[in-house]
Amino acid sequence: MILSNGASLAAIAPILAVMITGMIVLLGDSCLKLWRQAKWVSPTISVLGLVVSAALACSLIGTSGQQLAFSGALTADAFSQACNIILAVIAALAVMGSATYLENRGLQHGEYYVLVLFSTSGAMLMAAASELIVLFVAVEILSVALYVLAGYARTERKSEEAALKYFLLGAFAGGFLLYGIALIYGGSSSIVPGQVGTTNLRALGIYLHQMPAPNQMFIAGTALLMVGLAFKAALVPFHMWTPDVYEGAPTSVTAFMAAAAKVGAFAAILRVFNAFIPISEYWLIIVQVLAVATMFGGNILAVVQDNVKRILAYSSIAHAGYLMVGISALTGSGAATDALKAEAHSAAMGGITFYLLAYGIMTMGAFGVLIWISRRGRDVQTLNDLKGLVKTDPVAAYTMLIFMLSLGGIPPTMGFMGKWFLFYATLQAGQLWLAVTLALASIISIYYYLRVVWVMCFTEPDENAVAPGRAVASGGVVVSLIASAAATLLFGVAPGLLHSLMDAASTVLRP
Amino acid sequence: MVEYIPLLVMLLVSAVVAGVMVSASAVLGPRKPSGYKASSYECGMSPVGTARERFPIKFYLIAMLFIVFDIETIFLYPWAVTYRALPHALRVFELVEMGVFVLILFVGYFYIIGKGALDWDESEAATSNDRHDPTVMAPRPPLRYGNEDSGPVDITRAAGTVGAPTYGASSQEQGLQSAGTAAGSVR
Repeated sequence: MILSNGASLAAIAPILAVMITGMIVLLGDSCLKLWRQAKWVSPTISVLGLVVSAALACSLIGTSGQQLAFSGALTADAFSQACNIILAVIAALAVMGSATYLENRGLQHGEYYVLVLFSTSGAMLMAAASELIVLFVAVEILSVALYVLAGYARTERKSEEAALKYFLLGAFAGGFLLYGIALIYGGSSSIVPGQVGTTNLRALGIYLHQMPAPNQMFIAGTALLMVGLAFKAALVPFHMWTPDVYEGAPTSVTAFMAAAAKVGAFAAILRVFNAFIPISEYWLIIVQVLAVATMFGGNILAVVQDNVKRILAYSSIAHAGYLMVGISALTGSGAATDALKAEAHSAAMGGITFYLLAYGIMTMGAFGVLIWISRRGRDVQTLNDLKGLVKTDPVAAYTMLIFMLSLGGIPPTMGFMGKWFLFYATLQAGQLWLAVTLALASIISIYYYLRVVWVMCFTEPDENAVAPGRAVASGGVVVSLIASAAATLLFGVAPGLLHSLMDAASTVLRP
Repeated sequence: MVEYIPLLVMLLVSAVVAGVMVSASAVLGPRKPSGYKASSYECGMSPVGTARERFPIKFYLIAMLFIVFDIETIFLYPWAVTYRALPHALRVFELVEMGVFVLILFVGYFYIIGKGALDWDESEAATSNDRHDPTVMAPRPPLRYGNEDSGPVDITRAAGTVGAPTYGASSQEQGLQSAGTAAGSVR
């Protein structure tokens, strides 16, 4: 169903809400003196805007069907609304967790929230993009704001380094993405004779379905597109920037970056490769190799880290690998009949959506605990800072325990259910070996998650590590931690509550 | 292949013409080098000092803002060109769309005004902590950017001879040379 222009605007209302909130905060903070002096105004308005956005997305998610907005440039279907909800939740958690952390580090400026909101809107657009050019613009909206955020502690060398590294490599990856799009445009012109090229994913999906024999230019374009997106999602051969950037950026930014950028990137990967399913014999093996390399690479490299932020960075790489398994399951390559393939497709869609939400919440939670501990005026970096946390700060330690178990995939947590759904979808798709690999890789991951727990619970507090300084009461962090811990446990016990969210994802049809 | 031959001929002709012009003027032209001629060309101003001196960073900021707004304004052109050709039903929507675009442009404009990016008078902006976060823009001593020695050279004083400059070539060149040496000795 192609929407009229007015209806298109209504269909992307959640994205517009985030953008408008960003502009309001930008104007208010720069022009109004009272707004600037009351430090709570910008974060409060930002959270309100995100709540409005999530509410709009919730109300629109019921209007199912393939709604093509703006002449097919955006697909405002239930999956994009589900991603809008996930991203709004992540951004709201990030904003709530940031306020006092920024104040403690002397980084409290209104622009922070503006950048968070703008990059959230970019990630939301990535989830809705069904035109490769729009996808590129959305990637840049997300990334440019993140480059600035990574260097937000601009007087610190590590933060500067993180920003520069992220910017240079990100710009390079953007080049790959754009070149891939150009080649796909050129290559698609000869798929259907007499047609000019197209970058519309829906049109490409239809062409490829009719004539699944792409030329070499098209395949090369797909490969370059994969490189560009794999960089954004931090898959293993393209992951080098992740630990350095995550370590150097302020912790609140790291949390947001880890969660939102990955959700956006995977929503985009899902859109692109869903359209390219008819030619999956060309790319499936690459996706599977990337998945295996990412799972093992991320997990094994995390084992040897001593810096908590780096551990979480490698853990986020490993989680990208698990999600890649879901992308592989989309094809249903091993399923016997078309009906089974369709079943595997919808199982994989639901699994990926659930996992994106689970990953977002538990990552925000784990970094949120680091932010919470940092309230004493010392930025928590290494495992030493966590020594004996159970004695100095038992609540933080137990909350961290929940998130570590969830990230490791131990029941009864959301992380376990997410892995279970991906595992199930992979079995449905007839890719038994990949499912087994996923299980093996998660076993490795349990070592380093439990290592964090061990350091917190079974070592003596290091006198030098946690400086007993002022403990600033930080309401936002507490709310965001309670919310994410509660969600992790609740949806781990009763994942059926998210049934409508997972069903929404299956509206993205097999071409 | 054949259709490229005229292109090759044109390349050859232009190379020959340019070569003849340059070499002819080098061989035939009279050569009377002087200090004034050998100095760098500064739009008729007397060249003083090196060009690699410190500029106010505001030039950079203004240039950046100019480029951003310039490029965004260029988007008005294709819109204006295609607007007339639009069907009537779309016109209102397109007008509103462009209105939104300009509105967003204004958001950025008010942001830079609110941030004081266009305040050229530095003394007020830098010292009032209300406008800027003190941690970012700490009060600092009044600075005069740029080379203290730079500025128009007083030819008459440097030459040390006559008050009013005469516009004969020789006297001006002489004055310039001595001005150069004077400025050099100050530095």
